[in-house]
Amino acid sequence: MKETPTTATPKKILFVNTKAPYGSSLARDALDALLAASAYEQDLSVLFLGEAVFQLLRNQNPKDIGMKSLAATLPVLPMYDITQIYAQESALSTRGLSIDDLVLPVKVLGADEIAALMGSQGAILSF
Amino acid sequence: MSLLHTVNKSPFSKDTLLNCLAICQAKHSVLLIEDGVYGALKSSPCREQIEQLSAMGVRFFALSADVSARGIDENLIADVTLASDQDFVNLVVKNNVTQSWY
Repeated sequence: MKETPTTATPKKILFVNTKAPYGSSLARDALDALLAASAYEQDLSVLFLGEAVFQLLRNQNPKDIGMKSLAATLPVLPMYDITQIYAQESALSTRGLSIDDLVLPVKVLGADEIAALMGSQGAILSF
Repeated sequence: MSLLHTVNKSPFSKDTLLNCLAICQAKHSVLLIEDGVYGALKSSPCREQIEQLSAMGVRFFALSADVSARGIDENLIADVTLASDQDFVNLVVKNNVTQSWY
């Protein structure tokens, strides 16, 4: 069997998070999918919309609800070469959050920039 | 008649808490659980209603384990008291009935 060539142009894939952590498994599923996808050398980016900005908060301690901390895992993204990390400006301000409250550096985007980001992708996965 | 309300949705994305507060009266207790604890944030869209109802005698609680999980311990409305799992059980036992908003 021939090996698949790995020289193909990387595909631009955007992972869109829309849910708060722990209320459902979607936040964890998105992170697992993102880390798995990072093995395939594609052009990955991740966007936190609406309630999902709560995933980025520091000091999460979900031990007593029997879950693993998302805030403990999210900072590894740059080590997986995932550096295009975005958060929705209005989602942060509505919730009284600033970038100082977050576990990793993110680029804050307005509505027009989010539309442009989505429009430039080869695929969008929404969680 | 004492009534316990539990709410498990964030008021930033659902109107569940708002609907609950609309029928709350003195002697009722409201326990915020799961994503409902985001309703206790100082930036909560329901902050004003919570403070008004609290002044009228409605008691507000947030489940401590869910608050800590989400890292929002330091940023809650003063009228909301943290409740342990044991407090949750006591609230259910102490009130005549429980209305679950979800």
